Amino acid sequence: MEEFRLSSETRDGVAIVRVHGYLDVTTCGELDELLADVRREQSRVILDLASVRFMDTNSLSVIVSHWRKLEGSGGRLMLAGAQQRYLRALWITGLASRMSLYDDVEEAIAAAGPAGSASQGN
Amino acid sequence: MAGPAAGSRDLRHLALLHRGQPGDVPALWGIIRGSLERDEGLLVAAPDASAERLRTGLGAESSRVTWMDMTALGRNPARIIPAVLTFVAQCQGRKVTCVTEPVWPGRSAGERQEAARHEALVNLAFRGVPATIVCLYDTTALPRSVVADAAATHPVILSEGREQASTSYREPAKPPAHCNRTLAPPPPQSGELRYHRDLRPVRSFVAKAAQQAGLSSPRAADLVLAISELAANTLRHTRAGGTLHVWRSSGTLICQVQDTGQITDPLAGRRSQSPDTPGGKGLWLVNQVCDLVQIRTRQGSTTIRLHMRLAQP
Repeated sequence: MEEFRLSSETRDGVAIVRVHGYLDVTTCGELDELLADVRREQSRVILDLASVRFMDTNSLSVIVSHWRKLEGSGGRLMLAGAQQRYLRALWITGLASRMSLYDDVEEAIAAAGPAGSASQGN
Repeated sequence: MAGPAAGSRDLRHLALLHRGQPGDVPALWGIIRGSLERDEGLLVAAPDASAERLRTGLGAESSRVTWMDMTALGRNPARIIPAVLTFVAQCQGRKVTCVTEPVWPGRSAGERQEAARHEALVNLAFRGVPATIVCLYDTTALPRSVVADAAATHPVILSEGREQASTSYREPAKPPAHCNRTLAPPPPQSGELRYHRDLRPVRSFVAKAAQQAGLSSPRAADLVLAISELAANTLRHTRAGGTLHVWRSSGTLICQVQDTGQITDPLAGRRSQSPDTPGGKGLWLVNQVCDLVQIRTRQGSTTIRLHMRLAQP
């Protein structure tokens, strides 16, 4: 059965949070805590969802809440590698067209721009 | 001929009892033309068979109407209220008239129950909203029980061009008693799974059943998501875990989740969703993706049954 794992790193002033496995009511609390920690250090965050095979609306609420907080303070949350066939909730709720989606982390980093350009996003 | 009062600031919820094609009903034309003359937001949500005549009759004016195919939108009647709420919000304070046909000939008994529940909940969901919601009931084609439900769920009946208060409508509006009848138990051959903490077995159980039943892969993924949402609610709101049942019945894959919780909000899953507000999306999403959702809830017990048609409707 699919295991759940989280990891994070910082590259060029951008935090990258990688999720592996599945995001549901039993795992989204850990993501919530990690994103809260990461936000204390970085205002530009890439959430790498390429290895996520399931996501529910509880997890989506966690992501949306951090997205809101980052945007509210001039930062950014970028989603990388989200696939419609796995992350149905992102599309059904219409969030896929409102949030910043990138094919992969490299593309998201390029879009984030050089270090220190947090408020120049979008 | 009496028409809905133009100046009302509150919901007007009428059942229009008519015979045959809605396009042949003068009272309906009066409502539609009146609404367009007053430059209101006008939504027509009806099966294409009904809407086509209205569209043709309106000619160029039909572009001022928002059309929704009720056989798609209202296949699951629990989707209608959020769609109309969204339409009302889009009208930004303009008065709104909605013509809906939630029950058309050929709907199953289970669908008719949920359509009657929807009609009762309209009175609650649109309380204080300056909207006129006219619901079409073809008395020549629908069972008498459907017309009786319409009378019990609409404060006002419009029939033969005359408007009158419904004698069987009671405040506060409640779904007719038969809508809350206990569902027949799952058949003995249905698959069963208990869950307590981990939802992965729940999802793989449903995924496997959906694949075996031949459900298309996006709809199978939607069903897995829907069941996972319900099972997540079990974990969030109860301590005892829940039970999943899966079976097939006449071209439909049915999944049922049962737990010890209670849903106390009758409009749960029926509010219009702002996509970027967190929280409370589970039941709404379930309603969006499933063809029919039956909820039976009381203190200490909730049963939710999801229907997915195997042939794409």
